[in-house]
Amino acid sequence: MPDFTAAYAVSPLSEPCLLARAHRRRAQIQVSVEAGVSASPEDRESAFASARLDVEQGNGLWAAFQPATSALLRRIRTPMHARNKAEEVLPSLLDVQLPFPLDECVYRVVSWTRDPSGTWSALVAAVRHQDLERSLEACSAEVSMQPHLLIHEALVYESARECGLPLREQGGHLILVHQPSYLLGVWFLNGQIQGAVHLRTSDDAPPVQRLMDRIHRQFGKPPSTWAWSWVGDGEIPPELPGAADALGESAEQVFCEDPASFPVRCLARFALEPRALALNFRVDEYMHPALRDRSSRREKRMQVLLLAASLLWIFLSLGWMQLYRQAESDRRHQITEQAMRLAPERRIQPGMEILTVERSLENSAEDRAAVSQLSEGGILPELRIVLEAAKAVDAKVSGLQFSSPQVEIQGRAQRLADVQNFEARIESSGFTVEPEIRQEEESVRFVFRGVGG
Amino acid sequence: MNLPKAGWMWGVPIMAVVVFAYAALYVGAARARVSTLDERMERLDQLAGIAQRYNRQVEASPASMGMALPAMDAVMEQWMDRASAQLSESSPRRLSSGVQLREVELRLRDASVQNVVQLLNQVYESENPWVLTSADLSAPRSGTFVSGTLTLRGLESAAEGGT
Repeated sequence: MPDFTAAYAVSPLSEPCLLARAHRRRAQIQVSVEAGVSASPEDRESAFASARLDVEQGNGLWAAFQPATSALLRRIRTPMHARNKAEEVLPSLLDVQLPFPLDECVYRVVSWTRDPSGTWSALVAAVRHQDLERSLEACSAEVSMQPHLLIHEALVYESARECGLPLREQGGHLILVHQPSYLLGVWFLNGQIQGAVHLRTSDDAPPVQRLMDRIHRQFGKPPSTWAWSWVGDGEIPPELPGAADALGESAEQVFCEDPASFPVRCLARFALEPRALALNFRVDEYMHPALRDRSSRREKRMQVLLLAASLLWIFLSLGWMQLYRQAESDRRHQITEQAMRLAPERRIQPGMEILTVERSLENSAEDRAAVSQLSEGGILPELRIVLEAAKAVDAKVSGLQFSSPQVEIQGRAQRLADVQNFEARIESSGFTVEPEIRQEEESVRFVFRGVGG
Repeated sequence: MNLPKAGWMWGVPIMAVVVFAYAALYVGAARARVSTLDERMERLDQLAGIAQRYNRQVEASPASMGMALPAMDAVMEQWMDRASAQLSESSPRRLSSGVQLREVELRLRDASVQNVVQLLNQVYESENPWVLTSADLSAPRSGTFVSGTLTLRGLESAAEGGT
């Protein structure tokens, strides 16, 4: 439960009632026993008063067990290979396999596992409405509180490792919980809970051997390495080590500190885990008002967030659109202005700017060519190049036609080499000409046609 | 995560998605239009470059500062006799920027080559604003005399009128 910083776990059926507190500080969760077995009545009352105050202030929550004797933890095997299909058929299978109608109970799915055959199976915890109500009444009568969380007793031992019991990572681990009126065995395999069995106890010694037999029937022979631990009140029955050895070879006993308070410590620790809410039997009409309020507040907060994010998204989208609309409008405006500058005498139609300006420039093309020619000095420099080249090779120019850029040069020279020399000279000055050469009796006549430099 | 269960609450997010989709389509089309407009702007800039070059050339000419062209017949008479050269002028063409283009045609008939060269030197070397723009000359008799046409053009302030 990430919303709370503290969780108080009680065991109303224990005598005396124990109280453990789990407290979250930064990322660490610390667990302490506030009212243990040996606490005086004054200390016990003071611890409960302090816990009630913390809960009333909204910092902490109450957590209680749903005893294994009045709840059910069962593996339901589905024939489905797809997880979503398995989830769909689970309620129907539960209705058939549970010993009571589905609509008269609350059930929570503890875990989904894939069997070796590829089908999915679910570990389901369930409690009848009447048993759930009885547990709530017991909490109310014994310790005057309504638990926020009511968790199947066997499930809280998922927090065993954090509460000082080193669960086997590999192999099996059996946690035997001795409660005042029953003995509970919770079976873990490779650190994952597999199920639980329980037997009611009479005034005699706990029915260890019968419980072991039932464990053997339900979970099969333990793997080659396995361990067992004894928690709860009461001493370890003398026949337990022998019964454990008989169940499976090389059974190892693993101890934990303060076994009497271990169940409530595990419950307090487990209550602060996010998973606790998913396994809470108090749902729908049984939901604790504080949790309902928090859930409702969270939903409202989400609504506001969703609304704000959506509105922001809408405004961003509109802004994005406006940005491009503005860019387009600016460009159109610039184009019209530029076109009006370039063709002030014409009326500019939208979309016709380039055509209009091009036509305007075409009309003034002759003027531009004339001005350009004047600014470049006309044809006189070119004329000078031709006359100087002709003089250099001793060629006689008899005709000249210069009308930039077209040029035609007629003349004669003594030898063909002179004509070629003349052509080379003017071409080196930028002229491009096609020569027409005619050999005559005493001279070589030539005509160069082309463009000037 | 606790997502709102009320159906109406999803109206605004759905509207946001629709608006975004519309905006994306609009922006896609607008991008294409802006790209086309940029191409047009680029073409207009090229055309503006042509017009600017023309304007700069006109502005750089003395005519834009109100200068008039010298009378061509006076220049011509200094180097040619009236028998070998005949001068004619077409009507001036008014250009933009308050200047006008004048064009004179010099028809030569058996003019002395020396005189023609001296005339052209006068046009080329002095600060005479007349510019030779075309020439169609022939010297059939061993290069001593030439016949043909010389065309000269010049810019002057439109306010000065044909001088």
